[in-house]
Amino acid sequence: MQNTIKTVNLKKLYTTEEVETTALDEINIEIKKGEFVAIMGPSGCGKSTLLNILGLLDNPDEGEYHFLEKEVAKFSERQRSQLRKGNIGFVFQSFNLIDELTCFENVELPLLYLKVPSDERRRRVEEVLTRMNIMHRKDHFPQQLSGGQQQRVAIARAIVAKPSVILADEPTGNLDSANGEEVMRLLEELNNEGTTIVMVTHSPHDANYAHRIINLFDGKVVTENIKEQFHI
Amino acid sequence: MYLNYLKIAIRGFAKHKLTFFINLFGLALGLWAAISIGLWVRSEMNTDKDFAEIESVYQIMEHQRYGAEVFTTTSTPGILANELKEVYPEVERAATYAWIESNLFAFEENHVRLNGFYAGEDYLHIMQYEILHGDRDKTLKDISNMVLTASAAVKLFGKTDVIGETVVMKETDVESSFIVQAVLAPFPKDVSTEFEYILPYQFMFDKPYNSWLKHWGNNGPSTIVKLNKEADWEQFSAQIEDFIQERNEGSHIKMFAYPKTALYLRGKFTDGLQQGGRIEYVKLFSIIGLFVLIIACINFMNLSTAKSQKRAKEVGVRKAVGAEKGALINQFLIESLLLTFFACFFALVLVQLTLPVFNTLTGKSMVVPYGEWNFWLQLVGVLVFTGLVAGSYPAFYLSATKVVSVFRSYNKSGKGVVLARKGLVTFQFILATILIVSTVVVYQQINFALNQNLGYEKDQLLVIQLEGKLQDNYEVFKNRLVQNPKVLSMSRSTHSLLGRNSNTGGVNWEGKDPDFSALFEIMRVDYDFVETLGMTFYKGEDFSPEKGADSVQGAIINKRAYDLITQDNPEAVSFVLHEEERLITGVLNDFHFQSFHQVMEPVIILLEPTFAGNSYIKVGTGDIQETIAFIRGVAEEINPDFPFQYAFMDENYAKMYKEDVKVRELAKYFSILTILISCLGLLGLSAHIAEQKTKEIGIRKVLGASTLSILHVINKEFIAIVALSILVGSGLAYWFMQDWLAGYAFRIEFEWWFIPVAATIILSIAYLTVTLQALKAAQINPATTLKSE
Repeated sequence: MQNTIKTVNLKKLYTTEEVETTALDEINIEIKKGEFVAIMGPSGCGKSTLLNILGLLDNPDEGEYHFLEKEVAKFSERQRSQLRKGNIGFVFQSFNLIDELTCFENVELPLLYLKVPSDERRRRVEEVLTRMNIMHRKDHFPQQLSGGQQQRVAIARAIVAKPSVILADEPTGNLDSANGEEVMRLLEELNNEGTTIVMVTHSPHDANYAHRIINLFDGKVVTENIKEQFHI
Repeated sequence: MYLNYLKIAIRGFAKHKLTFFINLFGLALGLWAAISIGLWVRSEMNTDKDFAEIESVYQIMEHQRYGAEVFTTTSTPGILANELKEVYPEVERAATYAWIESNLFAFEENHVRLNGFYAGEDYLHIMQYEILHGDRDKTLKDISNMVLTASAAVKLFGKTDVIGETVVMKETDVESSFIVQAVLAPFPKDVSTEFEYILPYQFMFDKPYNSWLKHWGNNGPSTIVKLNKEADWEQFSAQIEDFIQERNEGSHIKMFAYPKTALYLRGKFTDGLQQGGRIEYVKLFSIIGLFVLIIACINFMNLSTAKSQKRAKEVGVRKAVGAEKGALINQFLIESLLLTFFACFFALVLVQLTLPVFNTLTGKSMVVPYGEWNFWLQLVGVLVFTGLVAGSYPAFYLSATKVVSVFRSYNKSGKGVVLARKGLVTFQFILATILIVSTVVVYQQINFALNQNLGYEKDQLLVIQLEGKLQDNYEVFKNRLVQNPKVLSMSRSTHSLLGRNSNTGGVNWEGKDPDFSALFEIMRVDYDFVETLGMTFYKGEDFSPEKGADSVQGAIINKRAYDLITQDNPEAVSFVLHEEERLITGVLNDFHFQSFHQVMEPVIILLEPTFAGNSYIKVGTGDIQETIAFIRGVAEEINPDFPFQYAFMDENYAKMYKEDVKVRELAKYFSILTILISCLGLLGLSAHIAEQKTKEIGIRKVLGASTLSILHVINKEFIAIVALSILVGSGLAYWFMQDWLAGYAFRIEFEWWFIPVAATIILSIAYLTVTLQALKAAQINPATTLKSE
């Protein structure tokens, strides 16, 4: 099966004036198309750093990164941004909706950058908002919504451009258990429809939705478990 | 997409009201200054250009060499115009015209004093003022013709259609009648000379006492020519160089033609070369306008980058969902352009409201030319410039925000941006310092000039024009006035003491180097002149009736003239003026009869009061109004036909500095504005810094810091910046002002205390501004700030 994501000896360093920290060290992972993978590990183990690199938001310092069979480790910001557009959807712990835009406008944003015509945009935005069961609040601003509702809008925004990969960073971290559950079910549903999902989480319960868990510790992959081997 | 940008911008404005208003008002004030100055510059640049065929019109000017100096003037011989027309076929038209003077005119019982001048027949064909009634060809053809402006016609007749009406001009010795041949339409907006009537030059030329106009050696009126289309003016100018020398042996004068359109802005010559002039003011204020606008733009940059932490999330999200850098730059530029557009609206309202005051200040009658497309074009140009300057740095800075920072909960402005922001504030305060120090210097210099010891006493000195019967009955007038103990002394002179009136290079003395020449100012005076004016003698004594012929044939000169005459022969006791030997009976200490821009010139004072038009009356302190009422009574009794007019010498003197005073006032207002805008920026910036430091302040408070020590945390950053700005700004101001002061022959020294004065002003305003914000931050309960972190 085709690899959506493949890294070879990936390394990332953070340097401040006095200290050099190795955030990621010799990371070798492969994620196949249609997989649902959870990345776990204690705080500061490099989960988010890895997600940023996988999401083409940042470049590794060493190693290779193949995204959709393309070597992208040395891509410029412009190239990364071109590739990201329409291929990757992001879901964040703190939702990261733009406060000045309504729900509809937030979801519409990726389509604007893809230069989708306005009728088509409206149709697709309404379609995902309906699917996320948040259509009735489309003209509200993010602050007027509950956390669960905000995250549903954020997921709507992540999938409106029909990306092949969704990267989720602690998607339930700011939600209560009922809302968290709903978000996880939505992600599972999307995965069932063929979208590759990579999710960083602290929560063993959420990780349970994944096919595979990659455990990080001090910037290294320590174990990889497939679902049958989960010991949660 | 653009709609999305607009939405974000407008909702952002609504959300961050303080920042929005600071930006809006800062930019509006900057644009207001820029538009006001722009209107003024436009008016200056257009002055005297709004006439048909004005580009073929040239002023005939002279370089007169006296000693090592070249004195450039528009004064020419009174017979030059006709001769030029005869000799050079390219001279299509030529006219002599004289200086503006004030005369009394009457139509039936209506007496009106009008300002105007004498001009040759071709004058209105050269300066093509629009004619409301009458025929341009007839205007000044006959000695009895007259031209009035519409407003003068209304003053005299109550209407403008007055062709063929007769007006009587009342002069001291004679009444003359003129027939109105043309009425001029109101002048174009930007003209340098305003007048109410024109009379034929021939009338002036024919007067017996004006016979001096017929000689090539005398200069007085001005000459203006219009060249035909084919003519090359520079070639013509070169041809006429020796025109006067060929007609007046021994003359050192070099003549040249100068474009009339350039005369207003570039009419100042130093050592025979065009240098400075009003164009300097135009440049100065253009720079000030640009400074103020840039300062306003810097505010915008600073506040936008200070706000960047808040915007970083938006930028990150946009990038994550696919925005490229270019799209983000566009977004931020559109935001700043939008704000500039709003600010421009306020600026135009401000311009409209303040234009009357600005007009008074500048002595102009400017209007906002809403109907002219090129005004809008220029305005849009300024807006785009402002929007781009203000928006560019934030746009590039913000769009470069690393998208990864979205995922970090704690994000601090990078070192680079903090440094840049400090740099911008420093730059801003350097400009503010330059403006303030310069204003202090300009103030000192103008006040110095106004209060300087002139070599005569201008206080309590009344000046009365001797006209009508006052001139013939001067002795009666004087005798009656001096009986009043409040009238201390009285004399008269041909000279106004307010600039050059009459001068000659025809002064010789024993042992004089034939190649040396100097321009001597001639003052024809009556007895008691020196006493009335309070001048002091270096040696010798005043004219007096007891000395009879000695006084009449002698001369009093000033020290400067004495030094010239005795340079070759220290024993010299006389000199020759117009072939007559004059014994030096007295030498006065130097006194000023020109503005402080000029050096002391040599003066010859002769006892020849016949045509003296100015009487000087020294009055005692105390109730001056009562004394004036007494003088008025006597004057009106002797001279009932002419309305009584008087002026104070010190006020007349101050008028010589009208332009300088205008500059002083304008500089003052613009430096206040600069401080205001800079402080607006500082206010906004300190609000942000206070916000960023809430956690630090909270921790310090928990640990027991006093309010005062917390104030210090915020203040210290700014004080260092402002102090550095003052240092650099003062240095630059010193450099600029040395240059400006060089334009004054008599000037103040740049005093060291100007700098601490400016520094104190700026520091205290800056300190107050920042403290206001810091105090607010220091008073927040730490429990709330620490929890929110």
